[in-house]
Amino acid sequence: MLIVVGLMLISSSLFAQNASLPIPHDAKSLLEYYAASTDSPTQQARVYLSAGAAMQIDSSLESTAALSSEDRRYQLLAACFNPSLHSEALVDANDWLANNQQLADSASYANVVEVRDFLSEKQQQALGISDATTMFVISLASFLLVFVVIFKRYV
Amino acid sequence: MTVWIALLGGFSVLVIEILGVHLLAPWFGSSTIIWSQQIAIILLAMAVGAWFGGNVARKRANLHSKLSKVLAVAAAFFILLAYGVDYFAAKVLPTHLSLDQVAGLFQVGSFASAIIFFAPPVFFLSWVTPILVELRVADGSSAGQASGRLGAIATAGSLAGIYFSTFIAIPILGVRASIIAVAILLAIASLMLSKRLRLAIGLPLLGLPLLLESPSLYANMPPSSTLVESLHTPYQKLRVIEFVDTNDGSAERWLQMNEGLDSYQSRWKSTAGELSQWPGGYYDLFALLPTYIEYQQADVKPQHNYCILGYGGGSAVMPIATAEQDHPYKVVGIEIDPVVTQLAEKHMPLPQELSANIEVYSDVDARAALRFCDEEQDAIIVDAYSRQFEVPLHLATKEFFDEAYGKLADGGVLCFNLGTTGTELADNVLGYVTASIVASFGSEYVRLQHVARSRNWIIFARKAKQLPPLSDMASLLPSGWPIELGASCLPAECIEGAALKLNPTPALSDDKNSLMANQFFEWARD
Repeated sequence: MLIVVGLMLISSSLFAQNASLPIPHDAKSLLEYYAASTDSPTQQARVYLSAGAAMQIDSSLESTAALSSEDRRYQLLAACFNPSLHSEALVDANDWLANNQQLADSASYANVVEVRDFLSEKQQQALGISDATTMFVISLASFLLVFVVIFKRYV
Repeated sequence: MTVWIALLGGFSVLVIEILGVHLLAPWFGSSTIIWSQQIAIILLAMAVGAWFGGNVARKRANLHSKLSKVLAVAAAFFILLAYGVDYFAAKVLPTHLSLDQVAGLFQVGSFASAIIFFAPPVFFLSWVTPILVELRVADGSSAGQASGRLGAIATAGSLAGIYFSTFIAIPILGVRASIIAVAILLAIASLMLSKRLRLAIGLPLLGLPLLLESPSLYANMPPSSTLVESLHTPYQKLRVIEFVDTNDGSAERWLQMNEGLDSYQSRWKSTAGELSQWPGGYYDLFALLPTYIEYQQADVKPQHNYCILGYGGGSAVMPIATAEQDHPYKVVGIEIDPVVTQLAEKHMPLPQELSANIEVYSDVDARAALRFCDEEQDAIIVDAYSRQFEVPLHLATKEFFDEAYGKLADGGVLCFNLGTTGTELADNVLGYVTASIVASFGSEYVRLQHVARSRNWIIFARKAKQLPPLSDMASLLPSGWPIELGASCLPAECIEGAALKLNPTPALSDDKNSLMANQFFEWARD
């Protein structure tokens, strides 16, 4: 049984123009890239993100002394892979968009908007779930009330 | 007449008990917690019903009339049950949910459904025995003898209800049709008591809505999917769904169990009519097995023997066959539900040329089957789930892993698929299962590899030999394998070595096993 994390926020905008190594395309080249990589931590994060290696993204970015605001988005993307981090990531995504208006025309900004929209949809689903739970409880209470009233009247 | 009514009463209660869970399963799943809840609600309804029934019977007036009305009301609730659960759940449940979101919702939904639809008929059916006892006493029997005999007859009816549900209702008649049939029997008994049997002629009309398609067929369908086939087995509800990409003509099929959602039991992909070598997800990691088996072996083995516990639709075979290339191998598959294999053969077939390498045994528990496997297996894959996210308890204990260890050849590999929300070893499902495997294999021979884009881990454990270092994997893997498989070999995506020794959780045992509670609370918390 597999539990699918349905996020495929991968686009060509993720990849920088000036990578020092070819972008990996299969398992072997990804591992060779990891072993040999002289790319920047953020370029590495892009590569690992495209391969679905969310935990490796965090590991690469941890080594970066000062992460630029633009590159901080990779941490947001990595958080999308872990549903338990979605609420926190949505707050971070909204903060990032508010603090990076100067990047509004860039691919990075569009990327974070995608992330924000994805997380917002998840939040809406969570609200829908909460509403459905309430509806079940109300239905149950209503049924019990009606049942008791009818029972007392006729039995 | 009293004998038949007592028999029918006991029979009807167990039919609800068994078939009720099958009505809930497409919407809410059939986890152990939901089963336990169902049993508890039925027992509560029986207790409360018996109490009220005793009070009604004590009054002794018009007992035949009262019994007739009770049976009629029970029959009406059976009709409501047959049709109402599906429409209620379809109306309230949101669409396009994912498995990690729904534990709490499904718990509440199944509880509400069980109280509204299952408890009332059981409550009224529990009046039957006290009224029958009172009728027998009025005819001169002693109360003790009457209650003893009628209790025994009702219990015999319950026994018949269990076997009817399992061997006739689910596989032959269908869940809803069986419930309608029981409703009709109750209605006939009611009409006979009230001497209005001629009204029974209209009873078959109660079955007319069965001609309509049940909403449960499409319960919790993932977005952009279409239904291929759906059916119930004694173990679970199964369906095959399909996703088609009209751009490149590729198709993906999933075999789902119970509530489905965004999870699958088996997976199958084809492009332009050709089956893909890579089903995707955790299955692709099974391609690492030949590399792990042969690593630092003195001689290449003439044949690799695989035992797959939880064979399902055989999705594990394609990546293994791809990795083995021309090297001889044999797969023994164990699958407890034979319908899974049949459904997969029909809609998700493997290439004919692989069939010579595969033997599948069905209707047998994985652990029991493992005892009869040949010694010297090169790999034992454990991919067995009794419910959507529940690993069977007896397949996660140190004793089980000791048995698996005993069946492996030296250097053989245990490969355990674990679906979990955990990402580190702690007081959680990942911690407990890992601890149990480490207790059998030793921490230096175990590696956890996270599956890209999923909440699954594959735990590899090798018998008495080291797994290849992650730094060697680039040189060991051929070109052309999925990039996600490579992602699972990156250091940050793996847990091994010292981290395993720091695992704070103890191993699970056959005698003491908290896995069920761990699994439920882990998913409910998320």
